Amino acid sequence: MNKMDAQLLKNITVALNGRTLYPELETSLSLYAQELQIVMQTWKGISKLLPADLEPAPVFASEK
Amino acid sequence: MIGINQFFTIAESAALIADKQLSPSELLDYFLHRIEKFESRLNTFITVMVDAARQHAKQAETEIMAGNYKGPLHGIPISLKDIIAYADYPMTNGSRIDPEFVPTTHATVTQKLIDAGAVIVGKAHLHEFAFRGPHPYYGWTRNPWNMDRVPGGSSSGSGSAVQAAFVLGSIGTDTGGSIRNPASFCGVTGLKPTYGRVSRNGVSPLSWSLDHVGPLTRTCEDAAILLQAIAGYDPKDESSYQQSQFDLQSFNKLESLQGKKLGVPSNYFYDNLAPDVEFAVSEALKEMERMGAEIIPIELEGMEELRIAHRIILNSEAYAFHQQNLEEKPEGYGPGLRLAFEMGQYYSAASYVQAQRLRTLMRDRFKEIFAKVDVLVTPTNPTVAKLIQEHENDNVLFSTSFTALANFLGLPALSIPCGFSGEGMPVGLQIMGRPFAEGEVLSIGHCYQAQSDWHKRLPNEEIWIA
Repeated sequence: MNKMDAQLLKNITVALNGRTLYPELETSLSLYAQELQIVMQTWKGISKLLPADLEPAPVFASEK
Repeated sequence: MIGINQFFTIAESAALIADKQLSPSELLDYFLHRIEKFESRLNTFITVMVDAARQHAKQAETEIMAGNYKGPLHGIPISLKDIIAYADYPMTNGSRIDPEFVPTTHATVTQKLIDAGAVIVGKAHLHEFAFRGPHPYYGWTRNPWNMDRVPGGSSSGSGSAVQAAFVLGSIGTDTGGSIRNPASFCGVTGLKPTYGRVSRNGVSPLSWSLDHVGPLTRTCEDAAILLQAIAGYDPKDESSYQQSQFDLQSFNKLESLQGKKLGVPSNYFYDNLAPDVEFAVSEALKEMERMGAEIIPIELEGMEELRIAHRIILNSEAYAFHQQNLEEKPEGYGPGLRLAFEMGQYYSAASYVQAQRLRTLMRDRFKEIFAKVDVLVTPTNPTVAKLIQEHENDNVLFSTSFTALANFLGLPALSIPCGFSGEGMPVGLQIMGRPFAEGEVLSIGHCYQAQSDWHKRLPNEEIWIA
């Protein structure tokens, strides 16, 4: 998998949302990009382990 | 003035007011005087509503003198996190996105407090849109125990103001710990109720499926009093539960914990704790055992996965709510919050759905756990309040959370003080229960508070003036 970096996130934002991120965010953006990659990879692994018959929780239903 | 001091509770005030020994105006004056003296340093309010508060206190006084006493909130000074609508007063959300916005109707929770006779003193400071940190325009709310340390958030002004005795209670919101964190860091009591217990109508969302509204107070008894007033079915809230009223009778002033089964996780919540936190929580558990509770070790599976799923849901829903403003007027957000919200655009729809699937799995697992124990007891946070500077330098997007579990599963969760660090900062103890078991959670918390004095300790006011 290619490394997720700040430039990639900026490109995605331009491509998907037609706007740019902002210069004052750049320092944190590279750190967040690394974290995001770890989270997404971890999540991908976890998702594969979920049983096939497991349904999503009802989003707005209260706990009873 | 009768009996008013820094450690003054809703229950004590209510008894004096009901007996006509204390007038609501007299009580309000005491708190307004403290606000006037110390607020400029502690920064706990976005808006102080002096005139409206005086008018409501006077009205309460007239009603009570005429024999129309409404109950334990009649004439009690309360603040509202400034993400909760109070008609005809600005609701900033702690942001510069639309700081002049003035709601025309009350949030349901506001209306319920007014109906109960509470005196709303003002709109409490908060982390911007209840996430990350305060907008630089409004600056930091200060922790009354140490002005250089964070108060916890996002209900920062609520926690700090209750500890500083500017109000007797405050209403906050909690999406991942935003009531319990400031309660823990400021040394007060904070309750996140069950999802569906308290209406979210008129409260700006952070994450629809994780947001909760609840009280911050001095004691568990006060939290129970506030919960009774604000709970209940509301057709204006899609998630509101039909039988969501809270019966104060379910809150018992237990004298012992005999027969209570306290689940204590043997992993995750007790890994990598700050030594002072570990010591305080361990002593609290020993005390609860002495009070008759049975401690049952519980092995929790999937906590790290849950933490990630919670963040995916929160970020995705927050991005959906804020997308238009991020596109059209992003300069209104503080830079840190703006970036945190922007991250929500990178999660796929499939990730979000997988997170909701994990929610089903974990809900079933915790049903099994709560068949064995009455409550789960953990630290509220792995550390005490950090230095503001340290917090601002911390760029981590995903930090460890002991509080997100209760939001993810909608469980009631309480934070109460259980000790102090060597630096003199409060440590919080978290008690989580079954859905709609707030009565039990608060009763166990009350029993501990009856045997301890951590919640009665007060900070040195002189540091607020220096």
